[in-house]
Amino acid sequence: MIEHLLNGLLTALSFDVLPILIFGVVGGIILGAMPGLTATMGVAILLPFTFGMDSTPALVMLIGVYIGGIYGGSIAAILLNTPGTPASAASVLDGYTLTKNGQAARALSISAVSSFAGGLISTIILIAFAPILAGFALKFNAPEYFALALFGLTIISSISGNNLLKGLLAGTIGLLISTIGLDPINSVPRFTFDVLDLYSGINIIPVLIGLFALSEALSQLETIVNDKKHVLRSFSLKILSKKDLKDITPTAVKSGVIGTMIGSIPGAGADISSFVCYNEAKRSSKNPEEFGKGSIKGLSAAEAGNNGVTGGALVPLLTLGVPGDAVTAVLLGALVIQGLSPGPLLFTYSPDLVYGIFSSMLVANLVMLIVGLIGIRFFCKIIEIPRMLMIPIIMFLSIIGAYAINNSMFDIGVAVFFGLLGFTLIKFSVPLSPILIGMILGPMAETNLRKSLLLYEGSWSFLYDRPIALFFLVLTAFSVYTALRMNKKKAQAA
Amino acid sequence: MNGKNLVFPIVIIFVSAVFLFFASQFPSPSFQDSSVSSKFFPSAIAVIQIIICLCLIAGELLKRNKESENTAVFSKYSIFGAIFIIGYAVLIYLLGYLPSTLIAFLVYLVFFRSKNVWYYVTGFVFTCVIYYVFANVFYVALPEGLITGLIYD
Repeated sequence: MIEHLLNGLLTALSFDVLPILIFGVVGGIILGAMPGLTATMGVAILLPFTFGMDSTPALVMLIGVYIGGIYGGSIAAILLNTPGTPASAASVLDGYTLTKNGQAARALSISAVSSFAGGLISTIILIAFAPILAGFALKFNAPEYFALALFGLTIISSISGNNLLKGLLAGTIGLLISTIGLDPINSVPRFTFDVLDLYSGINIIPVLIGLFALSEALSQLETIVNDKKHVLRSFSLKILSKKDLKDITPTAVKSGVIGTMIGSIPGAGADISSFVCYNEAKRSSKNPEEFGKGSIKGLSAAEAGNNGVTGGALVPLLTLGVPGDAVTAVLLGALVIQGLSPGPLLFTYSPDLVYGIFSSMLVANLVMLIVGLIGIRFFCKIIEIPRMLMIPIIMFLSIIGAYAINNSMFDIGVAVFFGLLGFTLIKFSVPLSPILIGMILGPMAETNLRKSLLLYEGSWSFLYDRPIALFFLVLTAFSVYTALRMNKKKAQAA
Repeated sequence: MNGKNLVFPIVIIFVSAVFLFFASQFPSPSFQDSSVSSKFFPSAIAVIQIIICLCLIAGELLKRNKESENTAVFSKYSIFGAIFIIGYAVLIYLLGYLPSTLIAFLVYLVFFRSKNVWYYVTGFVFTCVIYYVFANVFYVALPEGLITGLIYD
């Protein structure tokens, strides 16, 4: 393991890969810093730039975008009181107060250091635990994978927002789309209508480009007409002091650990993590009354918490092939494009790549810290970039990105269709992430269910005969029960 | 009760019914080792989808407060955006990346009545830089276009 890790570090620091990593981190920070543009959108937009690359630099760049994007979201939150990403909503509470007091540079540097701490801890935990979980997952066969896919599908309930039914509906849209193409067992053409491009199914990349980049660009288009030019308050360029660093370190470490644990739970993303960490920091603080009034510990907890998710979210993706949230679903698409299938076998067949990802995460966090501290003045300028100019750029990059996967005009059509579908669904308050989860886990569930039935000669006894499958089914039932209970509570509160 | 919340599930029910119909037409293989065939998954999902939509409709009908929303679902800017994206996709098919992106950028800025020269310059520079980067750095071929391709040939 150590040898692979050192090799990965050497690769990440090599002249071929390091500039790509820096480009990814800076690109992620820039996209994340712009209000309305999320880390998921950032990864989706920059994904086409990786098509011509080898697998390691391609994934390293996207990891950089992911880590940079989560941190970048806090810049707009701290400077403008407008979270760049949902994950940065908790950073507004204390970050913006510090900006109002003329301490924006201090707030941004605390954010960079805390994000670094959260990301670093998260990566270390990922490195320690992912191989163990992958080793365990090697025992999985079709019934276990079916049960796991079923459990994975319950993620939909936790990413459905306020309306569980609409989330489930979105999930079924994804599942139905995943059935287009040749049936995985008998190769019966399904919903292909003699269109050759449909025989291999709908490629997931143009779908996610359409859903997360084009539809979002269309939504933003409606608001840019009333866009006001952001005017920044004047602030001192003094960054955090040694005392600040000493004060925030325990909070950042604790929040990093909590963030990693939350991130490793499928469906629980950076937005939940930042609020949980913020609340925990407030609960355990000797001066809870300072929170919300410019507390550096509050800001640190939120930032370490949301970046702590980055490593945690990769645990189910890399070890089980199950994406925990939208951004890891996009990363899964990137792995597939590179001809790799995430799951326990990735650790067996491509250890160089896996440890390359781990090492690049360590380096990406360091790059984020350095860039974040050096570029404070520059990043303040990013939020002044007019969205009117960014939106067509996003649209064009999305379209050519969809084309570049297979040099296919059909994929452009798919991206445009899903862009318009996604935009319509946003209008009807239907969440988009469940579509992607359904599309990814649908084939996994169907293929393994049918394989299991063939294995058991048509009997469904594999559902209770095999302990691991049974364990996942119990987890699935528990997850559904929890989601229904939460939904009931929400309805009662509303 | 909000009309738009009724229209959407009705449309999905219709789409699910179409999927259900086509799923029933899938040929069954002559040998079948298990109870689950290629029809099972799409049919089950379509049925679940219809049930969810019926629940959504019932929920909407049962809403006691009769709030009426007269605001249009799509603004003129979003309709422009939708036409713009479709138009760009068609244009890129016919003319290829470079001319279509330059034209589309121009149309976009003119539509929003932008008088800022720098926006036009940025549009031009962006289009050319992306073309260069994709072709010479990432070695990814961008669409040449049907008409442009014919001219080159």
